[in-house]
Amino acid sequence: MAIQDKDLLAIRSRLAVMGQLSAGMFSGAVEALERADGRLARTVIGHDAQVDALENEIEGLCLRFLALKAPKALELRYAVAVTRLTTDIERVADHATVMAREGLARHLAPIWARDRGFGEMASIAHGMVGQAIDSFLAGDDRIHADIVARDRRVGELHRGLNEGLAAQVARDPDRALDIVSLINLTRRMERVADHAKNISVMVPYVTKGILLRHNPEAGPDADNDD
Amino acid sequence: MGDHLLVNGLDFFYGQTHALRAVTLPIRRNRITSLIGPSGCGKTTLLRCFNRMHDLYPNNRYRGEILMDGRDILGPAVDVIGLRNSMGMVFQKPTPFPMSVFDNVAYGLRLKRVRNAGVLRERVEKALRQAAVWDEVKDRLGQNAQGLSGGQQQRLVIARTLAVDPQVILFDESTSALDPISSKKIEELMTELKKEVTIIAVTHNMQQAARISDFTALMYLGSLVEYDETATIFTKPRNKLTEEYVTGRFG
Repeated sequence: MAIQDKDLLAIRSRLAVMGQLSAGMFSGAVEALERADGRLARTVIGHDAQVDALENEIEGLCLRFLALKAPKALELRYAVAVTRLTTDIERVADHATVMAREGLARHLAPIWARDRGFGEMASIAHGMVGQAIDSFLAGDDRIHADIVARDRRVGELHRGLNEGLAAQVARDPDRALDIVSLINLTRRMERVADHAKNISVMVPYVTKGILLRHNPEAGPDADNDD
Repeated sequence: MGDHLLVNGLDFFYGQTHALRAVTLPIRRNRITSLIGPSGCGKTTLLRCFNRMHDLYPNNRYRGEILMDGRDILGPAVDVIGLRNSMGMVFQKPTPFPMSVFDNVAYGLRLKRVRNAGVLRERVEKALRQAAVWDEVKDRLGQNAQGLSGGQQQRLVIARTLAVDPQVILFDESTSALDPISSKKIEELMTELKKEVTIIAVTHNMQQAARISDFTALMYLGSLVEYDETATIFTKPRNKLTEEYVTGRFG
């Protein structure tokens, strides 16, 4: 996939900045939780407005590109995909912001440390986001199957952690609010992985015109009946 | 990058026909301004005011002014030949003269009494290179220009215009008679040329206006409907008529 139009290249470079910032916010939020680092949490929260501004900027650039260049084929799919991607990337930043706020409001590090599943889930979700964005930027649709597999693992971890947390509420009702907060956090991490999958789904759409949105388990080489 | 030209309250009459009505429009230096609008809206009439082509016919009359770097080019004291040298024009159909490729480009220079063969060669090559046609014609400079393809002829005409160092080039539907590949070459050339000159282009092809121009003016029934940055005209026009025109609902 060779994007050559200079407007699209500019869009791609802004998308790269937005993606890097959002993925960084997510890992920052996780680190802030693990280390109970209020300063880092506030930095993460502070970046949210930047991501929002980038979303608006990229949307504007795409609108302009579509209106002025009336692109066809690959360039059209690319611009349409970017408008969808920015929503997913912005949502990753939103989840990171809420996670950082939760971390600030409650001291969750000790419970987080008790189960390695939290860290593993966060690490997989973060890797998925980074890799999905990179694969989009590089036009490499081979990564999609791996993202789907890792999303399944995130789902398993999510279920396992939630069961453990629910049992913990019963055992330790005094910490119920902290535990509910962690249930909320795991749900957000699971959503971040979903956004990564949404991003990765758009790669075969751009490279081959294959829509996997409602059948993400299929690979980019599957027949497209959409 | 201020205003190179300013059309100020311009009216134009073909005899009794009132063809332009109080048109006021800036033309930015080193930018491409497209004039769009349905047939008969006055866009070509306006374009031809810039190099006073209308003076060639009797009973044509201007009212108002067109300022070029602050000086009214419609004034009686203006040297119209000099004005046309500084305002090159490229028409819808390529208009090479029935002479060699070289002589076509050298034509305007010879009129300006450039006689030195070395200087002529240098200026002709420079103009052909600027017009992105040098590589295609360098081995056939002595051949008749009418043997070139339509796209090559149009770029040759642009080279002929460039040879006399114009400040402004007026393009009148200059790609509408060309195939898509040749059109694309001319569009790319226009984008390159704006570094050197100011460009005003009349086009029926809205997508072309969107692709290449920095500013766009929509005309209708001899009046200017809306003028703005091209991106604004095509994404959030202020005027309802513009909205309808750019979305293809009228015109």
